[in-house]
Amino acid sequence: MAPLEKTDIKLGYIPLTDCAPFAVAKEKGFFDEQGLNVSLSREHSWASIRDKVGLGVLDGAQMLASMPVAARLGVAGPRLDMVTGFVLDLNGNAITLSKRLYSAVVATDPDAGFSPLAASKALNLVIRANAQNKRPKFRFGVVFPVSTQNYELRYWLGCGGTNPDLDVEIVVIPPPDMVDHLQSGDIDGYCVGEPWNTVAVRAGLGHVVATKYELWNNSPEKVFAVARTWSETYPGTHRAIIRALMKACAWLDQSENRLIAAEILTKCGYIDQDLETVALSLCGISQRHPDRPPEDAPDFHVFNRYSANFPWLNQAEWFIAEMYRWGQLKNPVSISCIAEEVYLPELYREVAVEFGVPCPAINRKTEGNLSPQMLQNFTPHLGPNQFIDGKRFDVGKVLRYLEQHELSQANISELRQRNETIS
Amino acid sequence: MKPSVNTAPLRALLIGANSTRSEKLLPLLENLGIDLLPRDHVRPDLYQLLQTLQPDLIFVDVNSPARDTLEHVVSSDPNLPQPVVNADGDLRISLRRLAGDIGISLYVRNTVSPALLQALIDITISHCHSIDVLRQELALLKAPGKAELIQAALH
Repeated sequence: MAPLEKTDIKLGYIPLTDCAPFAVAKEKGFFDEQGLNVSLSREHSWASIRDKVGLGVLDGAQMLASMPVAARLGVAGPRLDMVTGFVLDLNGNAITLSKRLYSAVVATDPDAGFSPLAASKALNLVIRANAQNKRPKFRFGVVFPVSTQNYELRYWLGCGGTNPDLDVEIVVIPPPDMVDHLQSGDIDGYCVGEPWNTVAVRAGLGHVVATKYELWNNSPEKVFAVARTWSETYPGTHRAIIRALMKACAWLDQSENRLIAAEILTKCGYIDQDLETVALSLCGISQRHPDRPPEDAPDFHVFNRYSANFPWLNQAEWFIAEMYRWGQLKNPVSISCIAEEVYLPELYREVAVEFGVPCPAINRKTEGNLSPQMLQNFTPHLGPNQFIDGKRFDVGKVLRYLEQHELSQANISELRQRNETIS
Repeated sequence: MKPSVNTAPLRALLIGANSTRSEKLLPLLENLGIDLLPRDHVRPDLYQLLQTLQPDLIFVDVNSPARDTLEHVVSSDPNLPQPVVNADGDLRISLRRLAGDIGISLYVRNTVSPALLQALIDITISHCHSIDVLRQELALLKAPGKAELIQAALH
């Protein structure tokens, strides 16, 4: 194994349930085993994490899976060269509507209480009626302009026919403030990570209408990201951190450890919520409605199975596609080249081989072609990957995928000239 | 014809700064001739606030929970101040000290020149650092008479 160029390390995280890999690696001694003296810095915003990693105040950090891609492109912020060789978790978010809006949606279509797609379509009817009555637009909260949550909320709204840029207002609110804003009526719904959906439901303030898993099964949520220059200067240390996180994620996906993880998060001061609230989603239980029993959601958080930690290039390409779709990115870039600059499957592969961990042999995979039923009794290395609207995202066909969406600001012909190798 | 030079003072907004940090920054901005924009709301709507005030500079506490909202507001309007992070050389070192040691991130309108930006950051670091050193010395002093003297010198 490569020598460590640096052993005193400072890593940033946001107090969310899925900061668990960092907390577990620290508290279970997995960083220590790698010869690393890691201090974890609780951060208060994604922008702060981006800046501190970019400026070298932090060595690395938990980031939204879309963030290093956006930073590389300078989308909705400064252009910074970030890389990731490790995905920390899959799924983990949900969309919550206020009680008032949920009641209107379910009154429009009772199936909306059971189907995320029906809820999206019913919401569209409520939004149209609202506009006809000249009432203010509904407001939804997300956590960051280039967040996975922003793309998930937009995807869900879009598949019901709602234009997220024209028909509703989307604002950015820090995750811990979401519930207060929902309660005050400042927003009518939000897309956020746990525990903030469970908190709203348990307080009787909202209903979960869709989970990230239902929108796109097993899609990437957070990554461990560093500045490119940092990765080049400290390659041995970078690999050692990934090894520690790999061990933490494998530990987290043993079901008997999930309650222990919830205890670590709440008792060691990583999240300021009670044990039960954090343990629910971590233990695969989703409380979607205040007035109904919790549901089984075994894949609500995935930390290791289904090759969760592998940085698939096509998933970075999906984020770029969404940036085009929603007009955040306008100038045509080579989508596959940017993905290859930011997501580093080879780095993951090197560490996995050294560590004796199974690893995918390919760097891209088709999304939207595997249902849970198809994978019953199948390999644990491959998970379901369906989209809520049944669309497919085939390898090398980013533009064709974009063309499938009616609601899109992407200039496909311009993109086609810049991306000769993909269709 | 020469382009006209805008001599209007720069207008700055403080976001999320606690009282200690505000105390440090206020006299500095005053001495530099920078107008501090009023912000007396407890939980203002940043979306409206920035469009109304149109500041040239924003000093934001790196730990402010409002930071991501600010990022959204400025990303949707290129005429508003933008985050200064991507830099090389001296400016990068200064920005690192400003964020890491002083705890401030800076958003600047593109009309502010790089030279002025560098000077502004360096003066801010120097000023805040000097006050910290003075405060530390003050804390070490036991004699009340001397402490009062230094306290008076700080203001």
